Amino acid sequence: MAQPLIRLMALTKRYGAVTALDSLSLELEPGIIGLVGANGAGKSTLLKILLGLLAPTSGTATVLDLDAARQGTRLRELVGYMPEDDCLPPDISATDLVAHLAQISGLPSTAARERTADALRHVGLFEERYRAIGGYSTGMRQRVKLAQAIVHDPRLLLLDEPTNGLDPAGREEMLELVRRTGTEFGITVVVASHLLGEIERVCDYLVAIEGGRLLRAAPLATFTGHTGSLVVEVEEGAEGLAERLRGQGLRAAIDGRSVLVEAAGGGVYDAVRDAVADLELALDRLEPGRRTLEDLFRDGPTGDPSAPATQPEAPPEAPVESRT
Amino acid sequence: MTAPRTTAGGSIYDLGYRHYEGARLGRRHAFLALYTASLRQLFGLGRGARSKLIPWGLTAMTFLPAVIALAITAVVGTQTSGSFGSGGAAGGPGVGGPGAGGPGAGGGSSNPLTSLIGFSGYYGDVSQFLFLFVAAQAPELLGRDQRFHVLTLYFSRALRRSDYVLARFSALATALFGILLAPQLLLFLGRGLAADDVAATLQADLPSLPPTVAQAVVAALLLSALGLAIAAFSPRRAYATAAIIAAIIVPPIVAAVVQGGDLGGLVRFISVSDVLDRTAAWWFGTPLVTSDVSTPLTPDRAVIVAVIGTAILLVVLLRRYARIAA
Repeated sequence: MAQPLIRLMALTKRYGAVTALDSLSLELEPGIIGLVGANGAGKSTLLKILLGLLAPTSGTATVLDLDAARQGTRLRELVGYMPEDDCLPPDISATDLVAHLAQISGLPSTAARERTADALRHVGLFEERYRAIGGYSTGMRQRVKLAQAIVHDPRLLLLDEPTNGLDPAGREEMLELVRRTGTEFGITVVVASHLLGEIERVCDYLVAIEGGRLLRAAPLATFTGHTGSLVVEVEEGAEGLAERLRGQGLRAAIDGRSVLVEAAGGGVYDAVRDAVADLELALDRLEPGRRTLEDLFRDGPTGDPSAPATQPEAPPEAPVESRT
Repeated sequence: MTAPRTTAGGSIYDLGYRHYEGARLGRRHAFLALYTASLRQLFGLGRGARSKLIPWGLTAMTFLPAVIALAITAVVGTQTSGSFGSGGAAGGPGVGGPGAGGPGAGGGSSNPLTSLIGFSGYYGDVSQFLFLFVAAQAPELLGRDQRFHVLTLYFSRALRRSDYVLARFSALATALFGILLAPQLLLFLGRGLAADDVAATLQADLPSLPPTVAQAVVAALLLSALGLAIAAFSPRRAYATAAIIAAIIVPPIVAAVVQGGDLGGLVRFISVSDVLDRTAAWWFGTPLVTSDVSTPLTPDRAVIVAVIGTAILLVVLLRRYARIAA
């Protein structure tokens, strides 16, 4: 591709003395892109600059061949945005709201109504879409927020913490919607989240920022994979289990009701099974541990030296990589 | 035969995602869409009966003087020859202008009640209802979007912050202009059609139309700017309504209390109701009926104050929305 979908060149944003984004340079191609970072890392600031809502202090953001700072109105016709916070008026129906917002995005009124029906069906809102939003559950509200972001068929979709406030089942459904939007609809999606464990399941490219600086940008495969640990959740007696496993030469740590066991070889599963059986514990869950955002940062330039040992395929520290 | 069709029918729920290839009309369309939606919102269209009660109740009140005047015309007005009720506001020199001066005296004496309701005094007759309309409905346009953070959804679209403000402002000004002018147009047409000589009556009333429209424009712009500028700073609807009412009624009360001194006269410069009473007097060339005629706020100055005041309030409103978090 001649022009990347998003190109950031030395993008910097300062609020007074606070630097929210520090000289960010990045090129992104179409796909589902995860934007991870702790709260306050600059994710929302970056999304708002990509929308042309915030002007960068220095540097440029080019999105869909448009300068975000100067051609924002034109750009926003082609971009959908799902804000992090609640932003829905309670007294009108989802249909009325989304159709109205579709027109504000530039769609003629007939098209706005048709696309509203499509968008609400895609996010799974049916009969309830004619009721006032005030009576909706959090899950339904998140769906309305997603629907308003895709109603004008954007070429780029920016989602800020789309699973915020959802219960586990709701999170799964929202992630599935995000994945479908990216793959089946062919819309490029940027999902910002502080939960790596969630977005690593839907995205195929990952951008990690910390303190406004780019930590890494690379295809997902180079980031994740299993941590090489097992999560063993037992009803009670986690301490006893951990002790017994340590007695067998395994590295085991307590995490709430779970025991995290470092899985060095194939015998670990057997050892865990035998230990649980011998101690007559009630086993709730046994699964490969996923890397968390903390792992990601631990592996980073300032990381814990012991962690990379479990990740021999971890990428080199050169943070900026162009996706091909 | 039917089975495959049922299957085909079932698949309409799984059309898959369809891309939109149609027109994207951009910022101008977005502005007009917001303007139209705001007008509908102001009158509670597409909403429940509760949302319609206040705007339509107040609209009915602005029509009341015109309806009363026309009802009296229908009953007794036709008994008098010539045009009726051209006496205008109390003490006014005649609404109908120079042409209606002669017959107006006769009509007015035969029916003093209807002579009270004319074009030059119409704004004064219904101004309280316009104030209430602004106080009730300006917060409706702005408060909800601030309180529930809906602005984020607007500003992330093909619209600028100033577009949002100006679309809302235009809608409120249109609504006020409409509810002030429409009853007077009804009065104008009704009087003409009820008269023995339709053409002559319409022609006699015609000179009243330009000042009527001018007053409607000025009142609509100033009141809209005032109401929205206040509503922009108070997302809570009840507070905004109270603040707008206070901003309109407190200055004339203060002016009356300190009457006689220079201060009282100066306070009238920030009294929207005093300013608009005087702009009406300016357009129609009628003398002031207020007790405080010695104020430095003369009708010609009032027109300037109205224009400058509208501009200042609009700047305040736009600056507020340029900075508001969304």
